[in-house]
Amino acid sequence: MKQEKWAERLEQHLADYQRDPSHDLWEGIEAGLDKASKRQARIVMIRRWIVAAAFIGVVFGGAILFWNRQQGRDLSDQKRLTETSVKEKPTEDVTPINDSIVDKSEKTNSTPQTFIRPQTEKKLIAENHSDVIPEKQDIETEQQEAVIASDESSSEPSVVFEEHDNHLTRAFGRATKCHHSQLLAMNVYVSGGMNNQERRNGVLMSPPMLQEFAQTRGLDGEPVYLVGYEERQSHDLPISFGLTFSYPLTDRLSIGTGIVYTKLNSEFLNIIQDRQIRRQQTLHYVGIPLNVQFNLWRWQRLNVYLSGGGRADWNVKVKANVDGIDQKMNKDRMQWSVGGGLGVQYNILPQFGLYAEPGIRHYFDNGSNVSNFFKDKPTDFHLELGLRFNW
Amino acid sequence: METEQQLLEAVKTGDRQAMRRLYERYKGYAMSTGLRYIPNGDDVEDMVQESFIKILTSIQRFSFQGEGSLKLWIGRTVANKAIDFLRMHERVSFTGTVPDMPDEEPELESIPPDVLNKMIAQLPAGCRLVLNLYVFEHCSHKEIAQRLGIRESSSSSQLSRAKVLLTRMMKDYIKRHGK
Repeated sequence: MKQEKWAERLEQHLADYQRDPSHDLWEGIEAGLDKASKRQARIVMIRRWIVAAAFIGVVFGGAILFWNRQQGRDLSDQKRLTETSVKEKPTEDVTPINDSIVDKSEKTNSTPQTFIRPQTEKKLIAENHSDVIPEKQDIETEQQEAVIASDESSSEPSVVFEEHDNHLTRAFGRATKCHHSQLLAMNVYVSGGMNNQERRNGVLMSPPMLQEFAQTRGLDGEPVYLVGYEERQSHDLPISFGLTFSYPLTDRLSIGTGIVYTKLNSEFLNIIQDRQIRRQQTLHYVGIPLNVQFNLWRWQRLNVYLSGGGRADWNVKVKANVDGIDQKMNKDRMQWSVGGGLGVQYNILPQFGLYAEPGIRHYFDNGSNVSNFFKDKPTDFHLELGLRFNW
Repeated sequence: METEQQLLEAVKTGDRQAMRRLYERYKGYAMSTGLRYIPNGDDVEDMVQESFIKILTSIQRFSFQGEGSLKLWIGRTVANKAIDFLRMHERVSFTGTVPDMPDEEPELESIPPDVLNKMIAQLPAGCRLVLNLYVFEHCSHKEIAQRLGIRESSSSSQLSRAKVLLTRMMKDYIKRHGK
């Protein structure tokens, strides 16, 4: 209390003291203002160019990538078709065709690469036998059905043939059922917390002052709050953007990592009797996650999975200002966290799906004195929404 | 006389004359604030010039909260610039024991303000920073700790150290000037 009084007296005594500079500083200030406005205009222009370039890059890059992939897929399908037609070139004799079908059925059982063949065979058979002995066709059809039946009953689980399947359906069959053929998945997502955080704290008397105060009032270790002093903290929802890649380990299990950017905004309002000091703080983190994903259930284009893992976040940039004026602040320490979630993915195309993943994340105390959302709400629910590209 | 709000509105329109008026009105206050942090007058003038550039380029972000709030904001901006300057140019240490307090505590009101201002600037950098933030910027020890990257207890002990050293300087001054 004594120190508080002394501080007040010192402030009062110097409140009206002013000293003019030895020379006029205005000329330098004006020159600085001109320079700053030029720099500001340049920054605005550069930002616009960057945004425009990024937009054009994303649109054209995405279009080229998509077009190339489609072309490649069509070409490979065509190539396979041609190879099959060359291999299966029909002869004039009917019997060898039957033999070839029987051979095929044997081959089909022994190899998993039978995706296109039965259809091709059907076409070939249809083309080559339209002018041959009609009664043979029934036999062939029966044999063909036998081939298909043997395919279905074979141990290979991933191949389903349909009479009039189109390219998309076939590709879906491959992408969703032959999960091993997927080499890599890329996820682009945005994630946000589900609750922002607000808190009002009283201001405790400092330990040396409390010692003096306690002696006079006979207090025993009780906290003493200063009257008219208050601190309010408000933390906005954390928002993250991520780019991750996952690699399938088994049919159901995959492991993934990547890079995640998180932004934390906070506002602190200190009320000192009739004065208010507003401090805003923005922390930028870049994190590296390590996640495991386990596929629970697949049905047509829908996929339900569990995911979980850990993440390390580094505070790469700090921005703080008091009433609009920038202030220097120490960066936060490295932040560890663990989390998990239940995700639902809907595949629009075999190579591309949308997913939503509600989850929970716990942030461990990193021991720093930086106040942020992670410290105020260490366990938080969040929702991750994203796009997943499969190769 | 032009109120703070009127002046602020004129400055926000980009009126250079209004900016000049703002500078003229608060230059003395800004200098005295700077001189509590930085002992060298030339350095303070450079820092005050930089502060006014900063104030005038970021004034759009300032929200007026009543008469006097503009002055407070200017003071805080100058203080922030001064802290940056100190950290860059002086070795700031937050160690050192608290010396014994003299038996008699002189009346600080008996010391002329310009002399007292100079005395504060002569304190060791660590306790000078803490004293300025606590007394003139109304920061709590928790805030000082967060801002300077030290512990709350260090902030508290640095303030006690500043008080003892300042009291000794005041006592010496009174002895020399026979008050």
